[in-house]
Amino acid sequence: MFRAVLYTQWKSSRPVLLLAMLVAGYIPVQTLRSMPYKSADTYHIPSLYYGITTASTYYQLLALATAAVVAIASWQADAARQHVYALSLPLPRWRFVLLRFGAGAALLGTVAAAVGLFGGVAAALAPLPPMLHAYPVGLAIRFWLGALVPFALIFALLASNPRIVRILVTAGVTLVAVDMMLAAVGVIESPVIMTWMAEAIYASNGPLAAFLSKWMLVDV
Amino acid sequence: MSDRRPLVSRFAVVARAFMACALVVCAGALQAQQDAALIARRDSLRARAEALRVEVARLEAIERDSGLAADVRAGGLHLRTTDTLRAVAAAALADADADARRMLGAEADLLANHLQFTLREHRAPYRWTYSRSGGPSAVEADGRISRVSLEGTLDDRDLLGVSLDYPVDRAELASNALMIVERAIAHRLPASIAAWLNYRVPLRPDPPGFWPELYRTLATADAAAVRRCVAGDRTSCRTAFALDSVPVDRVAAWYDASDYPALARNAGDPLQRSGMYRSVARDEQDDCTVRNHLDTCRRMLALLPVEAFRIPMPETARGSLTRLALEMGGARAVERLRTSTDTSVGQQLAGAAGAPVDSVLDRWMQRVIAARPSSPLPSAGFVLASLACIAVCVTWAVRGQPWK
Repeated sequence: MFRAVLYTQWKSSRPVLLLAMLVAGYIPVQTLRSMPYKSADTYHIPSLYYGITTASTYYQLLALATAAVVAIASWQADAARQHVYALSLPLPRWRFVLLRFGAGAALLGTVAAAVGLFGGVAAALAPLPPMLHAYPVGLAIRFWLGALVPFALIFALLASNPRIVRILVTAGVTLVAVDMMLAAVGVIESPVIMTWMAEAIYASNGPLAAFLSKWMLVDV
Repeated sequence: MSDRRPLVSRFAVVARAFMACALVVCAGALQAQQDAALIARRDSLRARAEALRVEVARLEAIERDSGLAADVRAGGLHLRTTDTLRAVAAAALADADADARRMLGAEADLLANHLQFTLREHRAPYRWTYSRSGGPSAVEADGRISRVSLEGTLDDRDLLGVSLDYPVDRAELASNALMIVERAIAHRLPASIAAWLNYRVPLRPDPPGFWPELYRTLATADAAAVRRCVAGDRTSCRTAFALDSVPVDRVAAWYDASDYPALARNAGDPLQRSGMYRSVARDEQDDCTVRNHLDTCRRMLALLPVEAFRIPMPETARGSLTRLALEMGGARAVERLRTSTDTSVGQQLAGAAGAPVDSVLDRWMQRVIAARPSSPLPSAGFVLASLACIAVCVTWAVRGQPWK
């Protein structure tokens, strides 16, 4: 059953996944081959490190985009058929959801593997200075875990009751609007809910913790 | 009649000329008189304005200090503040005194005799409000304290203070008081090491993650000498710290050829670089900074003044080495540093540590190299936070009924 679910999801998100793998290969090659940073076959370490730090942001954006597309593709076919086919399958709903989630996670895993593989090959070919080391496996794990969080969020949002999602979104928008209005008219000094949400989301152990650190292919 | 007319006419001409001359002379004298009066008036107004400025400053100082009714003492340290801030100031000053005493020993008492803290409160004079008809506008605030400022004076010399958000907590205030102590003690050191330390002797404990971050900074530094230092080369460390003296040929001593293109782009300040850029054609500049022709880079760098190449070891690293020397030297280390007559920074640090500078350097290098960040695999906290978030989302998804 898992293979069937995996195959259908692969089919629907195949172009994006292939593109993501290509980008995953392009980022380290572009970062490590940059000739202006090299002089007499030696990298200028600060410039190289700066380039790798910039590439970290590209990896994060790639993870975010891939996660969003795979999550949407997971439910696209079911949503188009009003979930009739999914409900007619001889297996409980919770198991079907887990299969869908597992398939999405596996597909994200292939992109993460591509990130690790291409990063490893590029780092092996590049004449890295002795002070710097390549960490393709660490980067791949970070990429996979980092992509799984937004994937799970979007996946859950699409798998929920639309009425509840509407209520949640409306309530959230109303709270934020009231909060900002109260701050604007001077009842409170600054938006409380916005601050609280930002602190909760960007806390060191918050849901976006993965995106707060750098995803370095090459580090000290 | 006929022969009298020319005479009258001539007389009239002479009289008119005389009157004109008299008028010119009088006008000039009048003008000079007016100018002198104006100048005198201007000078008197200037003097008055200056006197008023002094008076305003005096009155402002009196007004500023009028609320400073509370005198707080902790150990030898002395702070003036308002009654509102007395409690937090007393607690913070006690913490700062304990920390300073731990590093400075008896020197803390000597310093305290010359150091005076002031903690002031600042109230926002207005706040922004919004009305549908008038848009945003400023209205008088309710007089709550919005910020506090901590200032330090060392023998009537103002030290750079700090402004903090209110309410301020004890730890933050203590840390900032200690920062002022760091600046105060640096002003009492010999000029060479005070300048080397950028006028701040590090007394505060290292923040979490300081050493791994220092390793990363040094391993990816602009100067090859710094990178070789963190790779374990002690001689490079001595050179990069400029412990013995600042080298004559700074570029050759501190940098590798591969560093030259970036150095040509970044060395010195914009004014110093502009002189170099004026002397070199655009194509030649590109030869160095884009095409990495090292001979061109050498020529460009030779055009920069020697002051453009500062000690490449970052200030944090110099501070950490000094702190280590003070720790090794024990209670009287700062006193030895203050009274040192040695000329080189290395000898001064060795005197403070009570050990050869190489052994201080070796311990510092060991500490830096041991702090090398391990593989950037996600930490346990990161994995747990991610898995917890994923678990919550999956549970939410399992219970969802999107067809409804």
